[in-house]
Amino acid sequence: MEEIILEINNLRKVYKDVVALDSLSFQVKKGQVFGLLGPNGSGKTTTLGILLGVLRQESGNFSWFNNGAKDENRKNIGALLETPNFYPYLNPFDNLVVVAKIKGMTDYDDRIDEVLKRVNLFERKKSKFKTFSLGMKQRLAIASAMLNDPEVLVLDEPTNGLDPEGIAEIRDLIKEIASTGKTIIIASHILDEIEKVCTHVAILRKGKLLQIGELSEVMTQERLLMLKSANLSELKNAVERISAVKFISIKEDELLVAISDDYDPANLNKELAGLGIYLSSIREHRKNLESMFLEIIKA
Amino acid sequence: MKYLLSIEFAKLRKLTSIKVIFLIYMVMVPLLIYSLGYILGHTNLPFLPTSKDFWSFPLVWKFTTYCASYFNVLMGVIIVIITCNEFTNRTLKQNIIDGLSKKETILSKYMIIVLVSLVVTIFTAIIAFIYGMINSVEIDLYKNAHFIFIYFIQTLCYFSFAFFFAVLVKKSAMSILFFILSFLFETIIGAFLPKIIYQFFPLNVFSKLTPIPFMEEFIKQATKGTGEVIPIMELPSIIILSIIYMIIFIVIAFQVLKKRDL
Repeated sequence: MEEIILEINNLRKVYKDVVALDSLSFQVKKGQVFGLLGPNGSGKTTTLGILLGVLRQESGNFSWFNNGAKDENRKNIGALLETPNFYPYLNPFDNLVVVAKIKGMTDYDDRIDEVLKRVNLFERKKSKFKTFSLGMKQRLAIASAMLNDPEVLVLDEPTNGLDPEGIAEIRDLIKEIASTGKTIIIASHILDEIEKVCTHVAILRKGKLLQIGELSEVMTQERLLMLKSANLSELKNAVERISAVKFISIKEDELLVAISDDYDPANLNKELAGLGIYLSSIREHRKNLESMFLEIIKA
Repeated sequence: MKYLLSIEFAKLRKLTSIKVIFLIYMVMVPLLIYSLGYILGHTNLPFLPTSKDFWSFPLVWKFTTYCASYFNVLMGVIIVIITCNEFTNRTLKQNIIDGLSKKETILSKYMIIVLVSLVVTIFTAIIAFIYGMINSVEIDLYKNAHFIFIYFIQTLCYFSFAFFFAVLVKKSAMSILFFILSFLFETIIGAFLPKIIYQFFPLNVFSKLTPIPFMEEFIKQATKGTGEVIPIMELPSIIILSIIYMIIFIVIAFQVLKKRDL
């Protein structure tokens, strides 16, 4: 059985009269890249805040590494929560020295240089943190999270404030760290981000868990095909005569249809040919998470 | 303990505002000792000694700590700045995310309070020693030297009080304002209360750790024949009460932080 890294049971948090989290339970296993997905105010940051010891839950409990909610657990978690928080009058190197000391590291100088190089901040090693742009601050926070090579990374909106190049770099970095078998928990409202890096996803809305599972599992509920032929309206008429296929919409010069799981697309091709329609293209259409997500949270 | 101190040291090493405030303290304390000693020595009041006496052993210990105690408010500001910085930069939150417990964050700040108190006390002792060595006719180092220790307790108390405000208010400017106003506020309240009650108020108790030299004699002189008795607590009870107040302030700060969402 896979090792459980994080277990959450019935977590509940109330801010004045708003229920921010309600009976939230899930598990994260070793090696997963776990995405916590939800619109603003869905409880992502609240969840991570509780897990990282800065917020107090109303009820429920959680356990890291099967070791409860002890403070020392966090020394083996690299985390970025909401904003990059550093001492403005210190340079990035000195800021990371503070983190290294808290994490109980010794001989950290080389490692600090290494992580600063990894996020392209090495050249700015001597500038004070307060002179940094938002993107640079965010990259320093990521460097800080990976400083002591922790078992788990917790990243709240990790690409927030980064330019497209920076976003791509950070995603590559996350994938690279994940490939070494580390567990990563990412909260984001950017679906594209979750879709590109996560293996598992939990969808939150108004503090409640709506869906959870492997990314592919959450994403595929119906099989979708994109069809193309010389005459789109003839194709549409033909499709409507085949009972196993459901017409959904016309997208530019293609027809989007749904088929049941056990229906072979080859059959569709054959039937259409029988009706005198020859397809110029047939391809599977994966619903992107965004449309899935919108469907789920509206439901 | 070494662990927490080394973390705090890494944070504060390059904070210039602390160095500036320390510098002001180091310049102002000897200046005040000189000028106040000069003024008091020239009042011609019968029970006051000469300027030279104020600057000589054994009185110099008591006089120096009395003068220095005025600057405890200034040094308290350092504690407020250090603490509030951690809230406004959200670094206290980050320290906890990185693995410290809330108790450790309070403990590490208390260690800084002790450290600042020690530095201030040692500096003050050196100043008193230098004044004493220059001006004394007869050198009796030990008499009254315990005032240095009492001064240490006093700085601890004032700084803990400053820390308490900083944790409660979180914003630097507001905390400094509240911290300074609280002295005024307590004095005003005290004016409306019977002295027997006012003598137990925290800031009043702290200030009595380094009383005005010859205040007791002054009070005795002033009340002679009037029959009025002004309560004067004995020093040991003042010390004990001060330490109790200090513990209360630190414990409340901890409880507040423990319950607070960061």
